[in-house]
Amino acid sequence: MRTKHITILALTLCVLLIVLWKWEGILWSLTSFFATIILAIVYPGDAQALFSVSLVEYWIAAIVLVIVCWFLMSNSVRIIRGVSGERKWSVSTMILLSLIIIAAAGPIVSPVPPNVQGNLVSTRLLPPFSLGSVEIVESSREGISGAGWLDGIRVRANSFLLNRQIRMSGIQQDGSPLKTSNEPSPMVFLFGSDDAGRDVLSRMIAGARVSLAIGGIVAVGSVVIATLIGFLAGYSNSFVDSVLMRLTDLFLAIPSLFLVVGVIAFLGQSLTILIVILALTGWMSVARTIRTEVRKLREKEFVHAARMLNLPSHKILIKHLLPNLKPILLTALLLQFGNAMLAEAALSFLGLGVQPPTASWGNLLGQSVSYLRTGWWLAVFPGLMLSCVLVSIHQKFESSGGHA
Amino acid sequence: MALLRFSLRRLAEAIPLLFGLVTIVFFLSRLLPGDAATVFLSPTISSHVVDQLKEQFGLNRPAVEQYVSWLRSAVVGNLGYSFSQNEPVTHVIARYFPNTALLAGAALIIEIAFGIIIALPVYFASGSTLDRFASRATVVVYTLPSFWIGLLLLSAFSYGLGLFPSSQMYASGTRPGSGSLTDLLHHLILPAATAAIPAAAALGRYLQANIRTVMKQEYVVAATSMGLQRPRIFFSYVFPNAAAPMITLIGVEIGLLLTGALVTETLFAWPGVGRLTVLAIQSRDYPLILGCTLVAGVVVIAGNILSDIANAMLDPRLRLSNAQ
Repeated sequence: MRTKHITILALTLCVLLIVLWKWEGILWSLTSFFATIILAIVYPGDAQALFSVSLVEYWIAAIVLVIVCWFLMSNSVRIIRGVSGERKWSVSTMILLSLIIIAAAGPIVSPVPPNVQGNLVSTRLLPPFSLGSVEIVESSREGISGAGWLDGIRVRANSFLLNRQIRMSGIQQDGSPLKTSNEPSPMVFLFGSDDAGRDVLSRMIAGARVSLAIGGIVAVGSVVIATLIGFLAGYSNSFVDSVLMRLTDLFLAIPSLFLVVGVIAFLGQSLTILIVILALTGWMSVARTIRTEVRKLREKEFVHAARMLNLPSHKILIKHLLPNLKPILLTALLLQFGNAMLAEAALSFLGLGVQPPTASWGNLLGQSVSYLRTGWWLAVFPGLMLSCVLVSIHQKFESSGGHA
Repeated sequence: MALLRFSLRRLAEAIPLLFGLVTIVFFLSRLLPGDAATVFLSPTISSHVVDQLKEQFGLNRPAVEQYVSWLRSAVVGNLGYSFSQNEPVTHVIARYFPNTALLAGAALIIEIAFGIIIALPVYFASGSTLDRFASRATVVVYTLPSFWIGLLLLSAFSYGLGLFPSSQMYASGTRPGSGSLTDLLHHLILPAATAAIPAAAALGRYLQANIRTVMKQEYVVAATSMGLQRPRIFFSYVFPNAAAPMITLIGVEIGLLLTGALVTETLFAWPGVGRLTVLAIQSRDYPLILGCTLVAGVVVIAGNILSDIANAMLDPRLRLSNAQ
């Protein structure tokens, strides 16, 4: 066991603790998942009514947690036994991975759902590490249709996951009692609470889901566009090439944030438009790199040979050029991921990106501006998260000898 | 002569870019759902008046014709009328632009100064803790989002310590045109620092790498073995050679500062083009949005040309190889 394994062991421990802490949620999510799948197979006619987006989010969260936990445990056991050691995990990889895990497992992991408001008298703008209490009341558990015991279990699980009321409050100064049937359990506002009495940590986890998802989709989209344009420019005649490269120059000349802001102003604010616009304005530098690389590769012998064999161009591009571009594409993907997240954060910060009450790191920062005097934690923690991700991405980019 | 020819060539190359920019901005204006008349006017207005206005602004003519007239008016600098400011767009931008230039200029000066300072340990304290720290710091700082840095500076120095004002260009109550220079500088420091910190780290990083390369060159080794003093070697041999390629970076930096102005100016309520753009979007002042986008594009293109020309002035090899 050497120092380089400490990061993975620490991560394993964290995930294990989370799984042990949230075992109830995981168990009910898995129950709901299996019961629903079986019911959907048995009664295919009712399949539509069985699924809902928020349920699927819980299923994904539980499955991700279980798989990740199993994977990390088996790895750690091998490390402790001294068997494995070939895979190196850098700190930046760990930060990115754990954020992706937390984001995927968001619904289960987050202390309370992101939009739950606490008691406004006692929960507004609590500093980090404040104590409070949370009480979960499972509301309606009716609706058992009598379609057998399996459906009963499914409804029971779903009501645990979705139909609950959450009452949250800080430690009450005036000691006014809440009328409750259950005993409220203690809760720590790790990163404080915001002006509407919402838990900042929960909002940051929800924000991570939005920010990482937008970053990922935009990165894939822009790299696909870049690859198409790079291939087209690099592999076709010089006329098409020069037209496409002038187009690239043109897009590079316009400050892209201004262009994005302009398009959003004209088309309106929506998540789809945001993603499409960010993908459409992020491809230029990658396209240039790919074009140069394609130009270099097409003079290589194996491409000449493929052309001699009369292979159609699309086959040459896909089978012979694309595999050679893999390292470049992967670094480009990583870099675009960071750029897209930064752009989304800047736009949401200006109020032009993701709209509240949906949380993203950018709009959490944007909302914090009005409370800088009274609530520094609102600005510090989401920004710290965003910066951690960006720095990790650049570290990885640099350690991969990036050039894109 | 070669320099003049190079400059003219670069200017000529910029013309299609400007043309493309104007075209893209025109397409932007066509993105509007429905047509401009229905967006700007009250829905209760009679269709007769709408038709009259469409006739007046040329909105009922075919797209090609509208494009040509937009092109013609953009060339002579007529960008339409701003509804929210009740003034021609060019006047509004002319009023706000100097403030952005002031902020960007101040940021550029801070950025260059700190970029050079953070790169000094690479030569003067090579291999020391200070050198390692400076190299690490630049890598981390240049990836930080500038608006977060702004928020931190604001909450620390403005709200926490009360050293600097949090917004605007002058103290509140100052009549336009009568603000004092010290008051302006006092308001300028935080936004300029916000824009400059990540950029200084980027510049410093680049300079660090260049100095490392130049330090190993034979002429530096020769100067060292001749017994010249280290500061002398640095300032007459290492620094000029390491800093020359930075001119290009500064040209790019002008564009980045302008993009950053959107966020920085909004955060500090600095009355510049960036804040103007955000205000224009909030008040749905479409001609003003188009004008701001166009101006931002022109400034970036101009910055790139200027840095190319400056580069050619410093490095004769460039203009000769390009002239052929």
